[in-house]
Amino acid sequence: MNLYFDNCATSFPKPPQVAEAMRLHLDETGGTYGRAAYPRILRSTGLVEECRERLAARIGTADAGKVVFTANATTALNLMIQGICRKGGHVLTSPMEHNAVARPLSFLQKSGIITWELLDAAPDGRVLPDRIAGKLRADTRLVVICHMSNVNGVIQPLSEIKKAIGEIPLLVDGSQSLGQYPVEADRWGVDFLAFTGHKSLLGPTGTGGAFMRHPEWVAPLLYGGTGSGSDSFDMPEVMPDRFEAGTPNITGIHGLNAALAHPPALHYSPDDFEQLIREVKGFSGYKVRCADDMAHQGKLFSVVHDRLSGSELAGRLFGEWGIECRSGLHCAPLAHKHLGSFPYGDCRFSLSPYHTAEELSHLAKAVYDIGK
Amino acid sequence: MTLENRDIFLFQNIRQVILAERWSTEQRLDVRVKPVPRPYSSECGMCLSIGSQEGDRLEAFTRSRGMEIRRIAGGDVPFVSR
Repeated sequence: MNLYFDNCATSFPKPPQVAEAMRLHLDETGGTYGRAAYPRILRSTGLVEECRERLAARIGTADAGKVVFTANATTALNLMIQGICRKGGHVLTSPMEHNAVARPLSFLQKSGIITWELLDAAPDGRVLPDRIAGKLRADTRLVVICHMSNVNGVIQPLSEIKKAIGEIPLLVDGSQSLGQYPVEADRWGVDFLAFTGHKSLLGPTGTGGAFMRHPEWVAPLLYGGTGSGSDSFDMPEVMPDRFEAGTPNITGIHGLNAALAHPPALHYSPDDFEQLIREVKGFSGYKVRCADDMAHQGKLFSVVHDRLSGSELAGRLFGEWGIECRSGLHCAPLAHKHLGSFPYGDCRFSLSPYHTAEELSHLAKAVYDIGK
Repeated sequence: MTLENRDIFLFQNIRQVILAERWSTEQRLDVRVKPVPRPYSSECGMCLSIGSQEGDRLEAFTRSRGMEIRRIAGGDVPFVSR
């Protein structure tokens, strides 16, 4: 039985092809990205570009050349936030942002470079698009939105938010959503998007990246060798080289490519998940942190108990039932402040596509038993 | 086909080389990936060598994809040692 319910932190298991692709690169094929022209490199580089194309399809953009690889979503968010806001301005975010967004913004604000405000949202954290206009200023430079909260799974209405902000660039943190929830960057007008490979995309850690519709608005975060334009000390303007200094995580990207090529079917049904949330909502002593509407709910939720702390719940769920889950603030204190669970946090359950209805039922029994 | 009948295509980056090579192979063009010949660049990357007659098709493809390429007619030359 798979009792790992911490897939928001990092997903497990992965499709078996992920490890095999990584082993192949390490043990048999080898080869760096570009830099020379022998067949080993052609194969290795070709797979990196194949991965970039697959990612573009998942992101919902026709322009794969504007997808760049980074070590993780945090690096991508820092690249875009610091690269766009370096000249100052006003930034708006949802109240559900992760510290990967909040800390760079806080740093820029404390440095006197930007001002930062939160958008109005419903009690479940969903931004209210009709209240956005009142927050916009002449110097609003960027709007940052976490597509799927890592605390309660609420999914934001990106298309409506973009309509409300017009030409102001929209930066989406797709760390939790990409791979689990449809993303249509071109159709929704998403200008920038950060993603990680090791969560819902089911790839290895150390992979992630950014989609940048307007790379010319972003200053590079890293400077170094790209295997192109090497006669100049300036970073190349051409994409994706402009933001890919240094040898990328080729082994990891080959693994991510395999994950993208072999997405597993969902082993439980949407009804099974809905029933799980409904059941836990009915248990005495619990408050469930989730979206108000299942249509805007990612595959995770959190609980707060009226007697047991989040860490007590998590500890007993593992000790007595073998369930692995996460307690605390989940690096998202803003979200907990909005939801009313700051500073103690809650206990979170995040699903894998490999979970079965039987495993969800086991989780429900365990939560009931611990909390009764 | 002798080297003198082949053109060299220089690209802005590796991604463009890979895309152009993949397209050429799909089109069954006689394209070869090779290091950039010394007379044209000190760059450490790849270029494509293709028969001059087929080069027009490749050039049309690269232009359609917005790639800024440099085509050197008859530019495929043997390696020379220092």
